[in-house]
Amino acid sequence: MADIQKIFDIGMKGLGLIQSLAQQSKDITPVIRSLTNVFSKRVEDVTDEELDQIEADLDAALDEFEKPMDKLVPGPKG
Amino acid sequence: MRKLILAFPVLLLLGGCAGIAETALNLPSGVLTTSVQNPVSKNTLFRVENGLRIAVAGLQTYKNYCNGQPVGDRCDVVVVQLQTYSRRARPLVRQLRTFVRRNDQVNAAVVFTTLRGLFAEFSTYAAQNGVPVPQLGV
Repeated sequence: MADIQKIFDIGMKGLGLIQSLAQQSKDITPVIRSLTNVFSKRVEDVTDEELDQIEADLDAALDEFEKPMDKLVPGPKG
Repeated sequence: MRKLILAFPVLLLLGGCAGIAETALNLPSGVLTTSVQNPVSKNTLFRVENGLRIAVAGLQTYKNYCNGQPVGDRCDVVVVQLQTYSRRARPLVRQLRTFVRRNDQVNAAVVFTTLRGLFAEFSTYAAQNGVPVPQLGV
């Protein structure tokens, strides 16, 4: 019974994150994919295609994160 | 206050999921402690990258929040510093990919250890500044 409660709690926390990120992220799909990977524990037999996919997702996320914040980018003068 | 409200759901999952299967959320737990006896496999690489993807989503959320704050807010400095960690990690991740795909375990282990150190440094900085990212546990 305690295990069921634990699973439920974890699920609710996951939903909270997804909701939060969905409000902030332009494209939530890669995040959901990553979360799905975690919850389904797909780490036993990763294929090259799955690896390629997660690498592409990570690179895209890093590209976005490493951009300067809009408010710190000087606007056009004049 | 708004910052706390924004961070809370992210924190809940990223921090609260530590108990799930040494998850990639709690990135290095069981992953970044890999030793020579536990080679850096494609599965390990996948877990590292997957965990990083989720962590970066949390960082992006914080950055988006910060973007809405006035210029000069304390969070500006935090985001810029977090970006330096990200930029340092990136070439290491690339190297790790190459070595793992070639099954070059010696170099993979070296890069893996370096990456683990960087995670620890990053984790400490993030925690000190209240940024909602996983406690990396290294």
